[in-house]
Amino acid sequence: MKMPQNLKGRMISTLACAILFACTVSAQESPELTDPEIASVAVTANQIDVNYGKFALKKSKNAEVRRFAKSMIQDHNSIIKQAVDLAGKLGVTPKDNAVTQSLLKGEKETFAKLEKLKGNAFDKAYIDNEVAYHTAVIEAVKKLLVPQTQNAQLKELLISAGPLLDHHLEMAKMAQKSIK
Amino acid sequence: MTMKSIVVCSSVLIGTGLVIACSGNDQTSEVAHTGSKTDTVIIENMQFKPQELNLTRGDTVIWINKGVVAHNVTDKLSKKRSSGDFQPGESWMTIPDKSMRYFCSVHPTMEGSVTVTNE
Repeated sequence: MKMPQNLKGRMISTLACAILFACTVSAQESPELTDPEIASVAVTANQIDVNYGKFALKKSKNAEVRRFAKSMIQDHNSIIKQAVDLAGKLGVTPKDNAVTQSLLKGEKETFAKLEKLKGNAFDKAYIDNEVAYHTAVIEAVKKLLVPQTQNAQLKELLISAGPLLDHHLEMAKMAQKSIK
Repeated sequence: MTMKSIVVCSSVLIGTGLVIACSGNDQTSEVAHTGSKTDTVIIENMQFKPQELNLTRGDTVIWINKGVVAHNVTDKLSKKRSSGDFQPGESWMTIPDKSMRYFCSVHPTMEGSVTVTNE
């Protein structure tokens, strides 16, 4: 089943908007995010990609897609653990906020679309989504989260995750090329 | 790679010829004595540094994970894992008996090579 181009376009733009719109709103119209709010955004953004990966393992038989999904689950779970450990050490309780809610809304919409697809159409949609999601998250980390983070250790964790996210995007683009 | 290989938890005593090993995935814990040179490959920013390593047979190589996620050393040709996954802060050491190109199977674009010469 081939996914219509307009559906693919809508999925990518929905994802990008979910993060970037929230970031734009936060940066331009809302007060700066506090560290507990940034911790919430970081954990949620990672958890969403873990959820996408788990879903891909259930639905896909494509070896490349499954390998990619396993890497995403392993890496993002590792970052979640480090973020939660650090938050605990700093006595910071992640706090729900508009960006977190926007991410969760985007996840819900993406799942609604992915659930309808199977076979090659699913594989393509999942990987396209990963390219869009990582592109948006990288942008958000660089332009919103890192500049607004006050605690040095939390900032360091966010900065150190940068090369990993860049690498994930590269992996997603490679997988994208391999799926016809 | 067929050689002594162990995963160590940060406390690597380089240069003394004595390495104290602790728990390690599918690797065997042991105390190894090596008399030759020890080379180090640092894993950070999703790269093996140095990417290419030249050494003499009998030398020891230690990969130290200074990244934020787990990595491994996998033979590029056979696709067999030489190491298990080692976590941030952990290290893996081995005494290569032959040259090989390797990569991290979790992050396939991370690649490196070890060239072993006889002297």
